[in-house]
Amino acid sequence: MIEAVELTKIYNQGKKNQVEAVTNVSVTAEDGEITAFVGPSGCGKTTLMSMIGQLLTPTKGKVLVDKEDITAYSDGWKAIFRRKNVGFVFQHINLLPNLNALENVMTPLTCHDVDLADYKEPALSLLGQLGLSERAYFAVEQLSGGQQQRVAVARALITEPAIIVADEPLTFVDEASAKTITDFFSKLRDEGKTIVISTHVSNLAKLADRTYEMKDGRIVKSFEKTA
Amino acid sequence: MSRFKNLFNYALNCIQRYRIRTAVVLICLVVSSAVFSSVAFIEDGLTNEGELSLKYSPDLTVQGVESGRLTPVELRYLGYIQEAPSVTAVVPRIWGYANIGNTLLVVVGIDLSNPTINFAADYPLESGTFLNPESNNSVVIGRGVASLLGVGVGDVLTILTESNQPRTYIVSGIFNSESSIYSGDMILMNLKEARTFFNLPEDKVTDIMVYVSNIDAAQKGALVNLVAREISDLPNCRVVTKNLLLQAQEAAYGDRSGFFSVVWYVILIAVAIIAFNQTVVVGHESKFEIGLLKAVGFSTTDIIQVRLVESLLLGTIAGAVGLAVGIFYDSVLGAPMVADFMMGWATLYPNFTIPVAISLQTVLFTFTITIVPLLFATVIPSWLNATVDPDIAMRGARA
Amino acid sequence: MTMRNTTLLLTTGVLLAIVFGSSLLSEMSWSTKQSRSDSLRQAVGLPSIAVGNLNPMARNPGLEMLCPGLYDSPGGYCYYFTAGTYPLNFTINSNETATDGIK
Repeated sequence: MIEAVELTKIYNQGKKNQVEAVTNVSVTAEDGEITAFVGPSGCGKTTLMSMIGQLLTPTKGKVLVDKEDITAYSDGWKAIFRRKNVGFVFQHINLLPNLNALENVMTPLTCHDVDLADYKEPALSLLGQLGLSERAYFAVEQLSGGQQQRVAVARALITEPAIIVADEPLTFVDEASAKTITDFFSKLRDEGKTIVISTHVSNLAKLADRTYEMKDGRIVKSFEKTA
Repeated sequence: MSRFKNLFNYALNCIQRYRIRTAVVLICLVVSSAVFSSVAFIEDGLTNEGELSLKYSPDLTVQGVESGRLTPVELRYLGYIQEAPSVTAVVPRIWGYANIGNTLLVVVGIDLSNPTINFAADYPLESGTFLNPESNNSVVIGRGVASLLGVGVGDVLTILTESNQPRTYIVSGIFNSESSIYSGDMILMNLKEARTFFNLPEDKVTDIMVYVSNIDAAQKGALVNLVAREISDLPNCRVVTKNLLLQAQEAAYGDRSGFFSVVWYVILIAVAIIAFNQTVVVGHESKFEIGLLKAVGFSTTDIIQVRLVESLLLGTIAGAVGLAVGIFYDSVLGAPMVADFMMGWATLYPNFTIPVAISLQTVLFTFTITIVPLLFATVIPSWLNATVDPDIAMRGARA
Repeated sequence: MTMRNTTLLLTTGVLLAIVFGSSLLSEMSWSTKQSRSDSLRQAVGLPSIAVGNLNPMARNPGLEMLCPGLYDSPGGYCYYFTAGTYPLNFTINSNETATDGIK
């Protein structure tokens, strides 16, 4: 379970262009559930996702995972935590150019003490589940936006993390790819993963077990999905 | 161990992925290391050669001076010098230059009664025999002289002396090519023949070699200076010690290689600027990559390790290629242009192989100059990027 | 490890072997060189042409040719070397002028 307690993020603190992107946000994401964050552009969703995924240090507040304050971890321990527990899917996809799809999927394994050759089949299997078995050896530039995002999803899952954080994963994605990804998230939820998503796509938001609505960096509404 | 192997492979892949950066950095470093090493190898070779020749030079050489210019020295000083304390041998020498076949050659007359000459020794002869006390008009010539004049052992050599009189000599031996840097331009004869050649009066010699006792090696330097001071009292004389020659050698090659050092420093600064520029140009891509790697679980240490391996390998490859180019340029091609400048020769001199010393010190120093700047240019920016939040790094790169 | 990476490492290894091997051969060659022409150097006693040419003790026909060729005059190239022992120090008293002593 993930608990965000009074998370605040202020960019350029103390300077003329100071921006308070997230203010005093406290949210919970349970295991085996999809927790969604919705809201207009610029409301602080990406900043919140980054803080939950430990890609951004909060100005105030903390993030607890199974009651443990991971915000207090050192930089080194945060890296280990991300490595073992978190798979991140970015809005802008963020694949490494000059690598092919399979190599991008296997990139997170580089910092693990494993033999990469042992993970080639699982990586290909993941790509197959996302409809990309024939594109495994294609360069990133040869893939469409939707295909690239599916590769990014596979990359986030190759280390079998317990937590998946997806920041607007369907922004640059075609309808077919969006459906594939949505179905995949649903399957992961059923497997017991903790999934945190920010989205403005209604199909994905409808899938959520818990939804938080954000505006101007604050949570304005929250509701749970009724059975 | 697998983790280290994975990171190592990732680093090697990075070198191949950033092709343009790799190529630019490699070319710049190869050029700078090739220039540096080719000059350094020759400087080391000349220094070694100089030290080798000075090893057997006399401890002191007495020269004549008149009106501040060098002149032949008086033979009567021999007795006086012999009496100076710690002097073990005093040997007169006649030598000079002769323009023969439009080339300036060195004519050396040695006193064959000199106790330091060992007639039984193995002389660097290609053919024939060395001089002996019975030989009157025989000469031993250098390989360069033999080629220039087209003579061999047993041939008769007729040369115009300094008084424009023809004089006939028999070639008794020819020095080999290996010793050509020392003997290539030399015509060696006995002292009497050299006196006749240069038309030197009976009471004069070109200079006097003085050997000092070797009893106390630790005090040798001080002893030599002491003897030099004693001999300096002689009128119209100057005394040159072995140390002075060493200093002259260091000064000459220090100055000459210093010229190339300036050129090399300019190249190295250009290299550093280009490498840094490439790192910055590639910097956005690199910054993004670092942010992404951190997002998927790389630690700061992992990232520095990757960049370190990249820089070390690139620097090593560049250094090795540059050194190989330097070795080829010096040893195989004979270092055209550089050799002439370092030696200070005109084209008068017959051919010889320029001495090249591929010293371990120079090799290691060359690797230092290729690896260290690259480490600074890549590892430090990477470390700076790796210590910021991954999200900030990726957003900053995208901006 | 990929084929390319293996090739890269092997190439680096070969280059290093060439460089260090050449260095080792060169160092060994120089250490044995001294025995080959010792006897001649001892007999003649003159320094090799490798010794710097700033000292007339050195055999440098190129420069020695230049010295007599350039007229021997004060301030000329050869003047300094024949005037005394190398290195030389010249000091000029800045208070002295051409008019000193002239009344």
